[in-house]
Amino acid sequence: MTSSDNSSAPSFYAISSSARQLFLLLRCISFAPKAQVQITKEGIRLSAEDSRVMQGLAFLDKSLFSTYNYIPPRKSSHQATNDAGDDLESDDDELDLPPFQISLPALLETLQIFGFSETKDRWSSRDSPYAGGMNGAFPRAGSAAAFDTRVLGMTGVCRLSYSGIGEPLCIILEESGVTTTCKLVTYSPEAPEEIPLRRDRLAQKIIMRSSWLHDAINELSSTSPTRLTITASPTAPYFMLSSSGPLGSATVEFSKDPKLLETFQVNRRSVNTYKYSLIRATTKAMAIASKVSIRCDEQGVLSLQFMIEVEGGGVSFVDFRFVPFLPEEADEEAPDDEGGEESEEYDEDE
Amino acid sequence: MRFKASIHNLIKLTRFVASLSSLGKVAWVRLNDEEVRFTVIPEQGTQVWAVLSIDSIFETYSIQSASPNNTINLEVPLQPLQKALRSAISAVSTNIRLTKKNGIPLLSLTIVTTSYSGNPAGNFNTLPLPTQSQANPTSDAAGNTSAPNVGGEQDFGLAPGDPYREREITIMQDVPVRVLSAATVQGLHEPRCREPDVHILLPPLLQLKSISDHFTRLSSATMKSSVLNGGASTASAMQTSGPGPKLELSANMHGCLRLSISTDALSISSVWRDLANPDLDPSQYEGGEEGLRQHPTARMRMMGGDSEESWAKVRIDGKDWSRVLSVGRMGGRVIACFCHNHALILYVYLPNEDDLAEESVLTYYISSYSV
Amino acid sequence: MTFLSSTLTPDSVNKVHDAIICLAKFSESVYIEAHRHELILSTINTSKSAHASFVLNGGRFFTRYRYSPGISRGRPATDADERPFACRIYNKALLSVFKGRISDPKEKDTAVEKCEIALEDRPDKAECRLVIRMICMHGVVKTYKLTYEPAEAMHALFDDNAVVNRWQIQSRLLREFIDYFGPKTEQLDMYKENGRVTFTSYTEKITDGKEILKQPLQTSVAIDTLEFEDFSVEERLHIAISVKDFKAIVMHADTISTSVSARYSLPSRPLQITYEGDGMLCKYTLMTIGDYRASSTTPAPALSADGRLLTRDGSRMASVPVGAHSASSMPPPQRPASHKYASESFTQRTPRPSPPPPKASLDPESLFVPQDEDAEWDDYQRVDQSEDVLGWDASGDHHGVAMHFSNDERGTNESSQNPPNDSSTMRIAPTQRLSEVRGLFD
Repeated sequence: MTSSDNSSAPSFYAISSSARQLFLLLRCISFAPKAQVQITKEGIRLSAEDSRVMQGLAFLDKSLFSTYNYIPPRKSSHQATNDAGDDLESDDDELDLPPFQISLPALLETLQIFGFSETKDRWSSRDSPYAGGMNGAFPRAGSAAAFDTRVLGMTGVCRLSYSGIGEPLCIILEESGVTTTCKLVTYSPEAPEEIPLRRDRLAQKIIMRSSWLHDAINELSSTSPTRLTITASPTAPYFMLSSSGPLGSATVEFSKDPKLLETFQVNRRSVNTYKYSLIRATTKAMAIASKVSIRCDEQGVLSLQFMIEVEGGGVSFVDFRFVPFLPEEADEEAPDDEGGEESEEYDEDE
Repeated sequence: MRFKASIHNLIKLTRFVASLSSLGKVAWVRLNDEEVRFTVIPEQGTQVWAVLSIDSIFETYSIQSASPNNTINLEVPLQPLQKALRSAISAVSTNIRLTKKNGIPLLSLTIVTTSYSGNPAGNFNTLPLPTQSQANPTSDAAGNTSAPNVGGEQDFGLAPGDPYREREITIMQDVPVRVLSAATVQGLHEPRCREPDVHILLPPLLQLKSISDHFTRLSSATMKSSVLNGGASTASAMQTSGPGPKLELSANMHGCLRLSISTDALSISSVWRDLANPDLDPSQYEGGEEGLRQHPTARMRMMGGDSEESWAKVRIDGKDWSRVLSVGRMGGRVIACFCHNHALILYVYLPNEDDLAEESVLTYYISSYSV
Repeated sequence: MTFLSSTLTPDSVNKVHDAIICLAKFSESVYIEAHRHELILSTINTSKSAHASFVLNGGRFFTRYRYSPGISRGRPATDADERPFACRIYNKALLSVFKGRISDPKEKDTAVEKCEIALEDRPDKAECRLVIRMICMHGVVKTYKLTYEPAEAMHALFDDNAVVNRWQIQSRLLREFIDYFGPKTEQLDMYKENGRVTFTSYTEKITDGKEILKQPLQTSVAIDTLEFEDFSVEERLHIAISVKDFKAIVMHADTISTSVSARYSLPSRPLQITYEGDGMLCKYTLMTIGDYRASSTTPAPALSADGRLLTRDGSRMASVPVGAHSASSMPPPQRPASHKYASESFTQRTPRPSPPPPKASLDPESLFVPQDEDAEWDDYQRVDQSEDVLGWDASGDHHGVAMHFSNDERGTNESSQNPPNDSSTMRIAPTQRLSEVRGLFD
């Protein structure tokens, strides 16, 4: 610990043995420049949003950390400065630390400072644009081995600490002979309304392997679409994703085969349209998740919940919510419609 | 004017040229009886002076010039040279010579390679799964029934129809060059710099480069995010085309190296400890041991490791620095000399297979940016 | 009304993908031609100097192939029966449908089980659609409806009778050395001399002073004619095609690992490259030029029939349209019988803008200098003399311009038939002769 804090101990202090794990989970919500951070007793909740029509939430459960030390402020001491913490009065007079915002790209870049997400061998990958040709490409003999990133020990032990309002979020990463200290500036929080999903009035609930949804979403990109239409129906076609663009249209249909859709609860046919690029922004989650739960309420609010298996056998969840286009707008079916202002294209009933 | 040589350490030369190529488009090359010198002086960014011992690269080496000291000066485009060398990676022999075709002077590489790939007379109709035939060349051989024109006089010493028959391919790569007169290169001299305040052996360059690149990206990323949040739109345009973000690199005489940046969104620094501050050779300095005691590095060493004054600091361009560090592929030891707020000089000592051979040294001159 | 319906295996889907990747290197659009027994994918590049086509055999390439033109056109099924249907489609659209379906073991569950291709073209519907259905495991069905426009497919003219030079070689051998040719070079010259074939990639540019250094690398690759399965080419006949085209062809040929044939007559006449495998016939017709730095030993013989077909006014390759949509009154040509289509310039019919005029240096009239070669060399000599800086030691090794040696003697025999002198020193061919090369390093 090189950071010389004031005499007061940090309100929050945690050690993770895998910066990579944190990185992979947080990268799922990397569609926005800033993330809102809420530290709780159970873990750290990071959320991001785009134009109020998409929200993403990653929860870093305290089980992901080897040390998780959180001293919530007492009501008496922080009452004056704390105006966002009064919604959670779980037990006696403890409060959660007020949320704050940080730069999401800065956080992600810092977590991977020791390069675990890099290509395996920088020098030779740059040296051989002829990869595949040249009778077996660049030889990897001799000194190239000295640059294998494995020798650099990507253990990625990572310490997080936060002392309270106005203080930076401090991250310290260590690796053989090098210590990296990063202080992320914390910004005052915004209080965005959560996109409401009416769990009691779900129109559909489908659980499937995430890779299949990933494959389907990728498939539809072939039409360079602006919109994605999701159709669920108790009769065939049961579950269908479709899009269209200047070069044509594409649809992916799923049968009701339980091997394919392990949960399929659809009471009546529903057709909703979303902005394709936003759904596509979840591909990092789709790619690493094992399962996805696709829920949609009667208003058309879509929830994608990804279950991600983490090192050591546990699971983490990353959630996304999307506001649909208004039905009449969706009916217009204008493939290369650039759309007007985003704010006019979704339902703001709530 | 003649120059011809056979290259025996092709990988070394290829990596060397690749390292230079990242910094400049052309190099001035001076060939003489003693050494090969490459000089890269880009319009902006780091300058390189590199001296290679002839034996470390070439096997036979012959030069003949009317210029004084039997010297040939050439201006050589680095990328084409790099590409040409790369095509020799699997060569049996590689020769280089200065020649001239159609009035254009060239460095011409003659590369002889051999290949052992499949049977030239395979019959595609009988191949069961052509797309897999490469992985399974025996099925290829089985399919070989007709061999028109092949199998007659072969001077390869192998049985006709042998699918692993060696075949020879000769490749010529012509790199256009300019021959420079002695007068042109007369003004060329190494940059002069005051004695450094701190010198230190750098940590493994791959690690340093990886972390530096992350810092550069962090700087760009957090700058972009502030743009997204309503900053000036011109800032992003500068990011993409202009020079990269500036990194602060500092070191002291107590074995520490520090890399840091600070942006609106964060401040970050990486610190290496327990690095070596090599001793200077008294015989190289005026006044010997006594003179060395007056050397700036000696004074810096006197200062405590905790005081900020003990650090010599430079500000360098992140992208340029990354290109400099690509010399890591050469696998040499690198000593960095810091002239506080002024310049950074890197000496890259290339390893030699033969201990007795003369050392090859690359010198990088990097100017510090003002704050 | 569907009038083309066909089914492909996953393996064939990959082959279609390989084919359209190759076509994409020539042009951004693809012509699809449906015949009774085959489907043809083809394209022609914007400068009309290269035509590529893939003939997919209905019986062998497809597991099912049915094309019924008469009914679909709403006309009596009489003379129109054998008339092919042709349309044009953006390659990009096809690429995204057929993209990367090479089954990744990790993505086994999303693997394609079969693919159905259908054409729906109804007179009562304004929109034409090419419908491609990928039927995958577990009942996942991916359907694409791609827009196309009716078009007349083009066929390159190639006079089989004029062919005097031919070679045939395993694709793998070509694949081995195409990487050596720099991406920035434009032309690929080939010639045979003394039992070796030399391929040289180069760029024609007027270069002087500083610009010299910007000239792309010139690369020669020499291999023994014994590597060829068939080799019958005039000695020292230089002929050049586009490097880019050649690379595209070789990359594709290597995907089916086959034997590649080239046939041609003379520079400035088309050259044809063909190969086939698994029910797919691949044919490329490429315009050629001579090499300006060397000359053929024989003057160009006049081929009257051929000469008539090759117009000299900028359309480098004459093509004829075929297809059901053709307004042409001529009888539909039989494919793939002969290639003697009536001469009709493609450029007149193309709906796209005319190609830019060919570069002056590409014009065979100005390029191909069979007779007055000495004057050509004189020019270079003058250039040399003016550059005093480049003092040149021409003695010794440069007498290697001698060009007669046999296979057995190569590398040791330096003929003295041409005594070294200034003019012969400068007459170094675009590629170094092997004798010269070896002589230097003995």
